[in-house]
Amino acid sequence: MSVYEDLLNLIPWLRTHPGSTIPEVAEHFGWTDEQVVQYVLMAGVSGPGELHGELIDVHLDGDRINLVDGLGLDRPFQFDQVEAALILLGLELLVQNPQFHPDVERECVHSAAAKIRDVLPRVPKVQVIPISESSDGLLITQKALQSNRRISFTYWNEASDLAEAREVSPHELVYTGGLTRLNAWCHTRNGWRTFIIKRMSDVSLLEEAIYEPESSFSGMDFTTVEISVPTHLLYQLEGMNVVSRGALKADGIKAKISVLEPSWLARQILSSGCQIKVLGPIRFGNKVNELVAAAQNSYLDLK
Amino acid sequence: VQEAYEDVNPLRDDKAERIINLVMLLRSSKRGFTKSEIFKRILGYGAELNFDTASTMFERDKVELQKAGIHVDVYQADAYSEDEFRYRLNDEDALLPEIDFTEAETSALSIALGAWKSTIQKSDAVQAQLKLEGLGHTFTNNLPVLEMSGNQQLSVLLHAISIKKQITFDYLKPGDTEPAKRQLEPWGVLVRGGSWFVYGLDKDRNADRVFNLSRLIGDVKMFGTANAYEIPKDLDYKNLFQPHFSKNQKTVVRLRIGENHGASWRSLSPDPLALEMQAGEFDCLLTNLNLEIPKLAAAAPGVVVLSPADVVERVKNLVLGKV
Repeated sequence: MSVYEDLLNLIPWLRTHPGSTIPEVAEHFGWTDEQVVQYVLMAGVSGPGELHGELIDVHLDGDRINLVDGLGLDRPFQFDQVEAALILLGLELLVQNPQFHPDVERECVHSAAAKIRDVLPRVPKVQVIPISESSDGLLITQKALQSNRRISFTYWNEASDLAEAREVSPHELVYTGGLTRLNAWCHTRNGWRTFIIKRMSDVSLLEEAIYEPESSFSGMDFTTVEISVPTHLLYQLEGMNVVSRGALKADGIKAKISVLEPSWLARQILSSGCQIKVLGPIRFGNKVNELVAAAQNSYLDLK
Repeated sequence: VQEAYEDVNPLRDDKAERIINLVMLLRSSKRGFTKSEIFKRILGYGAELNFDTASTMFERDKVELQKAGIHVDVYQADAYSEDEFRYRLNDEDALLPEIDFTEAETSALSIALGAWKSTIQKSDAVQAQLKLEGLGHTFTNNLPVLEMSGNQQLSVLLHAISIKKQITFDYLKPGDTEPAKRQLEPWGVLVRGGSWFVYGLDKDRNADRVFNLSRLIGDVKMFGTANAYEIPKDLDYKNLFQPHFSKNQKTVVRLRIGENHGASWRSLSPDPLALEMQAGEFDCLLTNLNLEIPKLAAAAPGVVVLSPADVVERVKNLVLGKV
């Protein structure tokens, strides 16, 4: 965001948060204290003229900031089309997936959306198609979360392409990357794991109460891997957890992705016709290459 | 304050100062200002040195403001003089009116905006939140449990749809190795699962089509004039996906699976015994080979295709990198 946009955000905020301290403002906007002082000083010399009453009146008393007269800049500017569309899409996502926030009433989501549409009627048409996941697995997992009980299920691990029995203590359901996931303590593996709901089958609610480990859920151990992806396969990045991507060149791009298991990356490489390459780290790349070689042998041996 | 600002502040930003002063000036009169009047009042344009350079700077600032959602209104005050264009910011269009959200609505908005936190659209969502905060609403910043998947092209598409401008892009169809140029009147965007789609009138085929944004190569470009078409009302977007799949024939493919492998393929078998099978061979019915062949390649060595020969050949070529 540019400096003038920061300033246009700050002035209305100061109106609704009188007497805020410099560190409070800095924390809220993600700026340094020096930046806050710079912006306050810049506001103080801004206005349609140079005389008293023609400049924004902002006081810096110690480290407290008070906006006395914002000269009309103390009201935020209208949403642009993208901002309004993002709000409406987020609200639509919530309407379609009420199970994630059972405390939020659907009517409130609709009325909030209607108020946004009222102020900006020309918002582009945006839709969220419902997640068709009213599966038994999801329902039983929700019951387990409500009653603090464990569940067992068979889980298809995409990376290894193996189906395995698991017993877990559910922690929370999250919806990310278009998939509903369960973060849980896995008793089978004795650690925190994330499970994609649609890959669970034979889900059963157990009598045992959930186990509450000392460590809180902190995600799993991912490795950052650098890969090269040719231009015509860029769509494959959508299914990957991309940390950063380089500039698009004639032969494709280099990207850093977050990977849990080498077998998962080996599958992506095989489906790409081995055109996605691992650039590093070397040890991880070697493991991936071994798995790719095993897959290649299965077809070389075919009669 | 002015002295302190000029003496102490090493981070002075002339451009920001100029744009802020421009915004304030353009809001201060309903009649608006001509360029000359603007340049007289805002010294940052340096018009006394070079009027043309100042004009270029002014046009760039207008574009900046447009990008930030602030539309500068231009009108011809004197019908007989082309020089008499006046510029102004109309408060009614430019400013966000007070919106009275209930606490429950604000909490729904918090979740809606939080859904974009890990996406490329994050900064637009933050900007929207800051504007709502500027009206006095307070938002929580808890970790989201509902997260959208973002897309690099989404912002330009939303912009094109809002001004009804045609777009062009390179699109790689499943099964193709080279992208083809497409022209579209975009009607809307939708997200299904984690994937974004744009739908509209495909100008080359003169029919409505859906495009998966992850298969767009390079950037979407707008062309032509604004308000170039009408968006049909009451379009059932769910039907847009149907024709592509129903036209495809099913292909019988024989697979060999290793122990406990191939769970997703076994469910596609017409033989119910395949579901119980630990390891062995079975037939399965595949609807869209272009989509399934890369998945079969990915499943090796736990799953190996045995027949028909042309499918074996295509999967083998992918696995061995002969594409």
